[in-house]
Amino acid sequence: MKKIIAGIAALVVAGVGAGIGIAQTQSSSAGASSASSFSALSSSGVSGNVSSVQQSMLSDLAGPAQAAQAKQLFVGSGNTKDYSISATKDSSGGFCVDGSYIAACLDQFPKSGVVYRTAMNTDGAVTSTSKQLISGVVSDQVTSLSAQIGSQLVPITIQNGAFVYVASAPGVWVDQLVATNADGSTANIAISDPNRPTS
Amino acid sequence: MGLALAVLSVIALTAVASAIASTSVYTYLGPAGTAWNQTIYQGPDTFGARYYNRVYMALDPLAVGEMCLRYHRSDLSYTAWQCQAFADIYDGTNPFYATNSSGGRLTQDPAKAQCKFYDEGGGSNEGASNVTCQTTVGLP
Repeated sequence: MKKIIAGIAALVVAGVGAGIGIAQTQSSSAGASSASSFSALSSSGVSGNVSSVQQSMLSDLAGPAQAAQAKQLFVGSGNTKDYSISATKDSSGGFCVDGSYIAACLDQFPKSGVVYRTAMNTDGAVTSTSKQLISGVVSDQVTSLSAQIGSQLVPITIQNGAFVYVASAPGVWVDQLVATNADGSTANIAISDPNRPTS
Repeated sequence: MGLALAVLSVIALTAVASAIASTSVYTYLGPAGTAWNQTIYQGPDTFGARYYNRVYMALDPLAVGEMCLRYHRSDLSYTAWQCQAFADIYDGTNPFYATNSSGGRLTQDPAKAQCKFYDEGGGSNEGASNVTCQTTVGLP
């Protein structure tokens, strides 16, 4: 039922968009990489031990049959020990990801090869002890990822194409993500986080 | 433009409500807004004590920006913004679900939701994107 409602709403929203002249067509962009460049989902070495919560969300996003094939990509440790990310292929050739502060279905990666969400490390109200959290997935083209904070580069661990970054302390804010590709090129992704106080 | 958008929003709301009137789950679309070049559309400020768990954006192939959602709670505190950037992804954030640390739906009930959309734009003919908050009441 939920999917039906979501579908109806999507169609209605699409209708509204069309009514005001916003193009609705989908097309490919140069440099974007397809979901097939996310090989972790095809790897037999990646665990299928997905939590029931993520299984449920992926079922809503991609359907129960696809959710049954989900893989657990990221299991945190250290300051990310409470966080995890799973993903599964969807029926349209893309994939869906769900986990700590991220849920999305993608047909393709952006040119940077990084899909991410900014949040804080709390499910409740933001407090003075809350820290910035960025979670996401990267395409196969990305070999390493760092968080640039001022002039400092902090490496981010990528596990099976997924990552969770938690700031080392409250008030530490990422200015940009720096993704390094297999060919040696880099992509700088500016982070605009409305949780960050404006000075 | 504004009037046309309002009329369309009413039509949209009516269509959704009619489609699901026979169930105990009701879905409402909130007011729609438009983010232009380098501007932020933010809304709604108040929607009543409902519970919003997703937001939609129109599928603008030129859009490069960010979609955000947070909840204002009854004690006047609020959750963190959750934002997902997008660029040349057309359905990656649609719908946009707020999730908790476990990957389940982040819900705050009763609460008011607030969505935010930032459109980077790029040229004089780019960057117009429609966005709307959707609320669902009665989810188990």
